[in-house]
Amino acid sequence: MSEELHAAALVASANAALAAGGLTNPTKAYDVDDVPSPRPQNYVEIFVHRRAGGEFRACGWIGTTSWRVTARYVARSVSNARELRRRVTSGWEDIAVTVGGVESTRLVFETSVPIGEDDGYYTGLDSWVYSL
Amino acid sequence: MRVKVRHRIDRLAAKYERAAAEAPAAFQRIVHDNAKDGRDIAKTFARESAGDHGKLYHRAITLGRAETSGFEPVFASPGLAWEFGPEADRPQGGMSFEWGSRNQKPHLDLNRAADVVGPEMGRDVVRLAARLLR
Repeated sequence: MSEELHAAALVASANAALAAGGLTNPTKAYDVDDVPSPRPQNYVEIFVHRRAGGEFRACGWIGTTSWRVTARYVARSVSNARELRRRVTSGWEDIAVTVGGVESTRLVFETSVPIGEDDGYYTGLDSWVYSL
Repeated sequence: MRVKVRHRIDRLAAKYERAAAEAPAAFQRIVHDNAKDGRDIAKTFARESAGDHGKLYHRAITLGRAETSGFEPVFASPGLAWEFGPEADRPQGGMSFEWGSRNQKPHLDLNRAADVVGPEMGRDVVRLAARLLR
């Protein structure tokens, strides 16, 4: 399954999570090279890559591929960045993503970067890992 | 007829005593060696990903004993906790390459290195435990 398919599936599911409940200002998730210019006031940037190795078992390796996805929440205020984090987390964490018709393992939270000032915006980042 | 039965529990006990004596140094070696591999792999990744903009960054990635205060007791044993990563007081060591920023995608040099050495370290531990208890 290509990386492009993974990115498309994750961006779509993040956008579904962001849309749930409705925001007064529509806020979207983008792949790293798709953020429009000029940049929106609030947005989420998705980055996905394949990790080394597959799934490790006592008898050796099995043939699944492992992946890491990060989401950077970019907003003009800390509160908005936190809300983006809450929405994406609720749509992803411990939930499988369907890539090219195949369901992954659940996205397992890995680590988090606290929200902080970032070139006039406030941003934070979370990462999750999963296998397919 | 007389049947004589002799137990060998003393041999088993001796084996476990030997394993207990050898284990601390052997596990310390595994932790150190894998952390060192992680540092070297991370430096290689960083040299490539940072490019001209961060050409000194990979030199800031070092290996050191991790602080043990606050760790669970199992990690409090000397030499069982090592860490690798950029030192902020070294040239370019404070740059936000690992997790990126609004203007830069995450490079994940340390994460990708840990992806390699983590499973390797797990295998080393399994192999060592098997050898000690053989």
